[in-house]
Formats: sequence, C-alpha cells, structure tokens
Amino acid sequence: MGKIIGIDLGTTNSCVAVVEGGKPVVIQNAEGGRTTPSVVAFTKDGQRLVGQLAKRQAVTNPHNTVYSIKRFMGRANNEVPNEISQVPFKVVSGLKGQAAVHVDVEQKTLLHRKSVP
Amino acid sequence: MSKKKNKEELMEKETEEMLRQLQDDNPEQAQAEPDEITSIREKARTLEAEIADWKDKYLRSMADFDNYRRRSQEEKSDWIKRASEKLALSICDVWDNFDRALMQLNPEQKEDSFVKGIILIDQQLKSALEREGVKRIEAVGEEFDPNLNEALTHIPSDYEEGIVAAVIQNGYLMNDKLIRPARVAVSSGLKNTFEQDK
Repeated sequence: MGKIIGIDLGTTNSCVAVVEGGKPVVIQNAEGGRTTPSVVAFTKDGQRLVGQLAKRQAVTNPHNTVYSIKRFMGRANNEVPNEISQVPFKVVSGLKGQAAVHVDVEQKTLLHRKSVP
Repeated sequence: MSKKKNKEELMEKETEEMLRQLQDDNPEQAQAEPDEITSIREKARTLEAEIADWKDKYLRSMADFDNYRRRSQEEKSDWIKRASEKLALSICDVWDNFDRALMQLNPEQKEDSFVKGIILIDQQLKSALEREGVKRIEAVGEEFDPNLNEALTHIPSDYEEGIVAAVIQNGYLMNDKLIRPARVAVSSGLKNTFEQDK
C-alpha cells in the first residue's frame, strides 16, 4: 500500500494533496502557494515553464503559453470553435480530429497528442 | 522486530504442542477428528495473518506520524517567515509611495528643512527594510525574467525586444526569496520598427 495523493487539475488552478494520518494535506509548491496556475509555457530558448512562472510571462509569449487546456481535453477540434477564439495559442486538429495545441519552439513543432499512441 | 518473530515462533510451538497433547490424550479421537486439527491450524494461520496486518498498520501509522511531526515543524517555521514577508510587503508599499511623493519635489523644495527631514525618514525606512533582508528588484534594462518579473504589457521602446522597458509596480525580494514580482512592461522592439509595422 503506497501513499495516497489526490490531484485537482482545474481549468485555471491545480492543487495536489496527500493523505497523512487519514486526512488529506495540501502540498505547497516551490513558491509556497497552495494552488498552482494550470499554465505551461515554452520559451524561445526551449525552456519549459510551469505554474506561476508561466503565467507571469504569458503577455510576452502568448502563442506558446498554454492555459485553460481543460476546455480542449478530450474534445474534437471542430467541437470547440468558441473556445479556440478565446485563446491566443494555436489549436489544431490532432490525432483522430481531436483538439491539439501547436507550439513553436526553435522552429520545431510540438504537437501534443501526436506522441500519444 | 526479532522479539516479535520469537513470539510468533513461540506461538507456533505452543499450537504444535497443544495439538500433540490432544493427540496424546485420546489418540483414537485425534485420528478420528483431523477436522478439528485443520480448523485449529487454519485459525492459527488467520491469526498470524491478522498479526502481520496489524504490525504493518502500526509501522505505517508510526511513519505517518513521524512525517506529520516533521511537516508541522517545518510549517511552523514557514508561518513565521511568511508572516514577516507579509508585513515587509505592506511596508514596501509605503516605500513605493515615499518614492512617488519625493519625485514630485522641485529643487527649491528639496532645500526646505522639513522636506530634508522627510527624506531622512525615507532613508531610515529603506535601511530598516534592508536590514531585514528586503531588496527591491531592479528590472529596467534587464532581460525579462519570469522568476522575478511579471509582464503586464508589451510596449515599443528603445530597448531590444525582451528587455524590461518600464516598471509599473516595484517587486521585492526578502532574503533572496521573491515576495512580490516586479510588474513590468516588456519592450517589443525598437520604436521605429513598431511604426513600420503599423
């Protein structure tokens, strides 16, 4: 029997808790916050930023900052035209017509979902 | 651990002995009733499993408790730190406002003895904060760093693209830990190229 952890993957914020002594305790992130923004960014130099850091640089790097990804998860690309118009990153049709995010990093194209079999 | 093992062995021996005694007491019956023996053996086995289960639970709860104690100690020291960070941050706002107010002074006013006193108080406030390890983030002209800065907008400026062009709200570090990121405007490149783009 291992440790029990719970993850709340939210549209805007995410939170992780671990069961300790029969009660869940929220784990803080490196910055001391109890929730972490559900944001991932790919910088020009190929770095990957997560959470608060990604959120802070969103304005300077809107095309490669992915947020509100939960709105697209598990949905077909042609099913979410409204959501697509609300986000600055590029949403394309991925595997089996599912919504996928196109990220440009050093002329490379990361198509999430493509790596998933 | 070894004690417990010994105990288990001892119990096993005792059960064996009990069984032997049973057989010795009325050998015919024992042979006639092997069911009873198997049931006792089975019971011993289930009890053993139960012991192992409880032992596991005991060890786990001990480890859990140890973790809990460690974490609550860490949390306590964290709270103290965080409380002072919060206080420092609210005083940093006063520092910012002092700066804004003093920026409005014209050269004549600066000669006024009352104003001089105010400037000294401003310096005293800064040195008090610095003694506590509070440092203002100097962002203008530096490359935008999401570890320290928060981008609020992109503006055309004489700085290269990706360089902080202006600070909108000062950010602060306390003992090299970020307590508030500097809210900044990041340069989108040279002013004239922006005009051309238009």
